[in-house]
Amino acid sequence: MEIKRVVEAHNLYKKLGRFELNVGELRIPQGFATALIGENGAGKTTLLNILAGIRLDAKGGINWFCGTTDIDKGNTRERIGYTGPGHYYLPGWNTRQIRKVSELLFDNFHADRFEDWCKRMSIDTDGFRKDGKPVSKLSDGNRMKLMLAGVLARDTELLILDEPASPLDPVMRDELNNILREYLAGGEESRPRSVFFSTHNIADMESVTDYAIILAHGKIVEEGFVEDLKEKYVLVKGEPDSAEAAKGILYSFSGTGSYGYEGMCLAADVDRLAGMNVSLETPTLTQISVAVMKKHGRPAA
Amino acid sequence: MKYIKSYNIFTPFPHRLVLHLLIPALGVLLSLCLMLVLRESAEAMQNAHFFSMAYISGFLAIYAAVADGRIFGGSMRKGESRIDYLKCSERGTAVYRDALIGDQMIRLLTVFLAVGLGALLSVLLLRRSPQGMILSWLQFSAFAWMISQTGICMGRLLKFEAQIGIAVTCILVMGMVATLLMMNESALLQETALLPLSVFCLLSGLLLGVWMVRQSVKKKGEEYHDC
Repeated sequence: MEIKRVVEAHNLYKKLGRFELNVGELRIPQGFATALIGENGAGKTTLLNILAGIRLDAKGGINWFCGTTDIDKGNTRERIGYTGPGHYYLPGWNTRQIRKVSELLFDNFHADRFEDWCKRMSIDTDGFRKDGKPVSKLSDGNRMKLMLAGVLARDTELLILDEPASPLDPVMRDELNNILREYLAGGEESRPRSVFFSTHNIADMESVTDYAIILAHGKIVEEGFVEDLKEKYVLVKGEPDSAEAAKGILYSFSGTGSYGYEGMCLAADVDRLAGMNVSLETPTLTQISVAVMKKHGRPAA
Repeated sequence: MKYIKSYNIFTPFPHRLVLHLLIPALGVLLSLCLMLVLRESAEAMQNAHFFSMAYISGFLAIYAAVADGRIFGGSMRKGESRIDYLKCSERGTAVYRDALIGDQMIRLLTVFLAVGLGALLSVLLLRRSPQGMILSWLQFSAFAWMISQTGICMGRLLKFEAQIGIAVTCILVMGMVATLLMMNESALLQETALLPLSVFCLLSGLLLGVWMVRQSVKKKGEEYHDC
């Protein structure tokens, strides 16, 4: 089955001080939830900002929705919902003002749907009163919920979410998975919906992740459907006596105490572990991500 | 009207209440009290008619300059007042520009209407000549407008901490202006200096407003690059 891409980018390049984002090829599958995983400073926010049109100063080409190469043309911004950290809303805005400004900014914003989302997510804003709590007085979690309510109240085809799970409590994180699944399921055949989000809480978001892209030092170092990645890598647990021999074969390696070691092995190399006292398991996305990030870890200063 | 809609979104309701209602109402109330207290002294009554205009124009100018720091403060500096939500929409910059234009229009209107209310009060209660009061009204309004525009411009160019300095400067300048206007009974001074000066203040305030809007919108546009 041929998979369409909701966003395709070629030779994306952006230099910020000493940091360089340098992405040769980026393909985000249409109709799926794609997680962007990486260490702090790997370039996740920069990449998301470029794809959402928050930054327009990167070199390279981007193609949105299989056809548009200019985000300011063809209603492209209307089709994208973006949430980001920091300066998102004006700190003095309350829920009522956010509803009003959203109506001015977007044709596809539904005020009633926004109110429903605010209720569903139990956002503590004193409702829609004139003197409701301003954004600056909301907790990080409520602020994120308000951003999510804002984008979910619109008819979009792509959500670009920067760390949506980080400020949320565990219950809300679980709910976020359901919300994103609902969002994806709500797409039509002619207008499928996709989600692209960055996360540090890989375990919490694993159930909603279909595709993963791992970023290190501004470069994509691994990507693929989660199921494929789980076939590509094997989690290896071994006794201390086989640690030295396994080290040379494993993709990543950790812990050589009296309890043994754990490491990630490429499925293609598993045969080389024959005869060693090891057990093999299917890794989780978190384990794969950690292994890949460790492998491409920051070089010592 | 799109300017009012956008302006209302960017300004909190309590701010609008204070700027457009509370300060003018307090000015009128205070001048009424003063007139009542001074009714026995004919000499004091001579200058009392300036009180409401001086109070209203002075406080409107100071309040507008200081409060603006919380609303559009730093907007003429790149990246200082980032609102990424606006950048998500093709209309984001236009809505922001409309709010800035609406702010200019509404503040100008508020200053002239509120100071005019004080002037009208003097005409009705103190039986001042309407012609003289119209002149005073225009002078006070023009000076207040220019002072608040200068304070606001500084607040949008500088950091919020600068607002204290701006407020003190506004008080001093407005005090000097009020003294000058209250002491002035010379028609010659009116014609040769104060009238041309108030026209200059009005026009330069308007030009400053146009420049502020253009500069803030330009900086918003630049946020898409190297923010």
